[in-house]
Amino acid sequence: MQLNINDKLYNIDRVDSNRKLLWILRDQLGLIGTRYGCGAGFCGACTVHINGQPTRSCITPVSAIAPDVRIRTVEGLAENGSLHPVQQAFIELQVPQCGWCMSGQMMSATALLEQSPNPSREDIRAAMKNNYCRCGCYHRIALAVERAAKLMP
Amino acid sequence: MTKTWRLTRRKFLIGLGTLTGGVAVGLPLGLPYLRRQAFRFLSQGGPPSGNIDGEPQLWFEFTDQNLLNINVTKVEMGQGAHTALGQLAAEELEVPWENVRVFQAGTLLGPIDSFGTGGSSSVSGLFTPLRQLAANYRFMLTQAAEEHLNNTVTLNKGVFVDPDGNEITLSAASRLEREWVAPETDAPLKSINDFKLIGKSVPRVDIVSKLTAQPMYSYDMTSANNTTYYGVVARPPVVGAQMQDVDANKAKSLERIISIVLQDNFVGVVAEDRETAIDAIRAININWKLPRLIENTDIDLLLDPDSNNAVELKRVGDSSSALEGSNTISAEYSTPLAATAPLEPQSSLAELGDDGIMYVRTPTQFPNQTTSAVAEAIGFDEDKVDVTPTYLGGGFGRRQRAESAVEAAILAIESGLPVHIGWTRSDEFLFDRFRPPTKHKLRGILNTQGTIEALEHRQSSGDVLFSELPEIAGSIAGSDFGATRGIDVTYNIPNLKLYAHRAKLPIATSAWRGLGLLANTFANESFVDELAFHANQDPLQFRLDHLNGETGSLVRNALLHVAKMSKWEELQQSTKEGSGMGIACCVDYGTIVAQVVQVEINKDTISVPRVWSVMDSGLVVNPNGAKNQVEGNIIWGLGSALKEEITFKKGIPSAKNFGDYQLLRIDESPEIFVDLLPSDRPPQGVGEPAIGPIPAALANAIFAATGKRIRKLPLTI
Ligand code: FES
Ligand code: FES
Repeated sequence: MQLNINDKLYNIDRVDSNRKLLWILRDQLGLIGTRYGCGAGFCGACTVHINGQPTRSCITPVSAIAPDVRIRTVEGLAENGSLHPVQQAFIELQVPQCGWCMSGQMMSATALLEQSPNPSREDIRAAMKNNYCRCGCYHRIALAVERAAKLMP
Repeated sequence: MTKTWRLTRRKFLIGLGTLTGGVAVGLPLGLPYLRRQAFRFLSQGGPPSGNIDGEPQLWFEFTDQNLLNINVTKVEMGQGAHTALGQLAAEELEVPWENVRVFQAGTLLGPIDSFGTGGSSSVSGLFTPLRQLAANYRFMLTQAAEEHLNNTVTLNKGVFVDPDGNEITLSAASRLEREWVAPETDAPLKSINDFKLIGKSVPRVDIVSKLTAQPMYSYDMTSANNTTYYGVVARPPVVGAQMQDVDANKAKSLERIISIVLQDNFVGVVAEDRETAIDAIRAININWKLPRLIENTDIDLLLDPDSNNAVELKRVGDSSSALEGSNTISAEYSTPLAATAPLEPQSSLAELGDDGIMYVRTPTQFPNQTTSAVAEAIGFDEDKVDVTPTYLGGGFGRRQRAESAVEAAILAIESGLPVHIGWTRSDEFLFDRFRPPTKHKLRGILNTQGTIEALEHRQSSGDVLFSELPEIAGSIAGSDFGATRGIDVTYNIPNLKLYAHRAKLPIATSAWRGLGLLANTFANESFVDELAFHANQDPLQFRLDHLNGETGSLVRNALLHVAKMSKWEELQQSTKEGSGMGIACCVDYGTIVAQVVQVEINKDTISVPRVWSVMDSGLVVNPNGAKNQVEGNIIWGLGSALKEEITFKKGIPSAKNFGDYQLLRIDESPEIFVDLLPSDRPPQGVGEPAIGPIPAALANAIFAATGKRIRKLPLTI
């Protein structure tokens, strides 16, 4: 089968119906930016966009992905050599600690900002509440999403 | 003595030199005396930080582009150690920050460290040794440049210049063919006033990579030259279960299975992909002999603060008779088992090199110990095993051991292939080394002036660091200095006694962020609040009235600062129904933290809109990084205060995944205000201290809001 990831077509061989998108991305395609934290939809570390919707890749079987579906991973945030405003804001505010949750945080933030360009603090907290950060960077994450809203074109 | 530099490495003894040294010398003085001394040493001195290699060429390398590569021994788990250590070295070598790169040393490559990474000691412990090494190297490089240019030179932005304008870069100077000799006496260090990098919030070296999908964690590792295979190991249904018989026939017929490894009490599978490996392990039938199945009540009964086996840690005056009075106030506090739950489950890549060396990439805080464990498991000499830590997706104490490193090495040897093993989240929970539960009995009495006349704290805890040390250390030292961290009291109290009881629990407990700091501070700072209430005093004023002496005045400053920041008096007066303010503080080695928590109670929901935190940790190498640590600790403290708890039933911990073990979420986190106090003391730890006061400050706020005193974590009303 084929997957459209970050506007590139990837051929996937050996697909069992049950294989989860997360492990195809990470172990087969080398797109390791999408991270694993729980494998059960609780933590958000594996968040990608499927047709623009934030989705937990750890519980998404690849067999459920239709050929015309667009998948976007953290590797697809930067475009034409320049970082995405969400990445810029996270750097500016020096948000990460260990960093393992950060791809998922940024994917959730990007989806939010694409749907709602000027979110309130409460909107941000609601949209991001299923992304765990064990290191406890929440204060900065909220500030960075607000900052990214200002940087978005 | 003059020493010629060679590019070889020295071996250092592995271990906590501080404890064993003290104990060996002191034995004839008798155990009780010794134990108090050990406690005093460990609570007043610093945490162990280890010796480091003294050869600059192992640490510093200049590239052709005159960039400075620094190989550091401490691991980066989000605490900012790589950046801060880079700042220390670059400061003395006069290299601009943009030209600095930081790399992780392995056990066979680059410098080594006798300890590891922990105890918030990476930067404070290396503050002087690493700068000294860099200063000595600069001295040597200057000599080399002067010889080469045959003139005096000055160093500016990585380039030596002589009075005639001739130049040589640090990089070129470092490559001059000559006999490199260390200075006979240490080169002078820069004075604080001349610091250009230390004390500045330079951007962290790891942040851009972490936000741009770089492979930098153990879970991301693949073999550089060969196909990587995936391993899974059979895990017992209950910790301690032994394998009886194994039937792997069904698994053998599965496709894409490369090898099945059966050893004594070990079953592993190597496959082309992870999910196949998991399927294969499931297809292997194993009969397990179960151990006695632990219930939570078994654990609870072993925690006994009144035990005769409790060790006396500190005695001032005569609290026993002072506490005889009928006005004695007493209270019992408890904290539960908790999981470490770093967000990246542990994983390792092991590959046997053509040179016969087993190369392991793994998230370990203690590379030396991991090397020994791997070498022993596969029958290699330690100098044939390289353990190079990756960036860690969280540490928090869990990475003292790296079980997956041993597992991956066994499978790599048996299959002859590069093998990656990634634990699942359930593996992490079921085989965690938990924060031990604690119980605390406190008694106190006030005198007629309304100050504390006597105080006694009897604590009982499961093992924290004893579980990581040989059994003998435990029987000599008596109390686990990890479990007692934070039990000492800075308040001026004429009669004081501290006791610690070691509960030998039938489950694995170990280090968790801050070790005993959170539990002991919860008990001490809640109880002081209770005494303030009995004395009919404002909790802030009551604390201030008990603070003098050197440390006392630092704590006083921190409390006054946080009170001002939070408008303590004003908000206390004006708080509306169901809301309240609480204050607490702690001293963790040389770091002082004071915090105020605002709480709002709505029926049985506790929410925390705001937290103010003040920290005095001496000179701060990277203020923005230190603030990030304080913010993280506040979230940790609140998570523990409100949610985190593990219980045991039929030998199994209560959480298999985050569904059963909720972490604090962004919509539950407070607005956070952090101030770092200026100080000319040398750097102290910043990675853990701010976790200490939070639970007590919150419990104190709940008391202020509702009149209910909650003495058990997690706090519920
Ligand atoms: S890994 Fe997918 S939600 Fe946690
Ligand atoms: S930065 Fe470590 S989990 Fe978020």
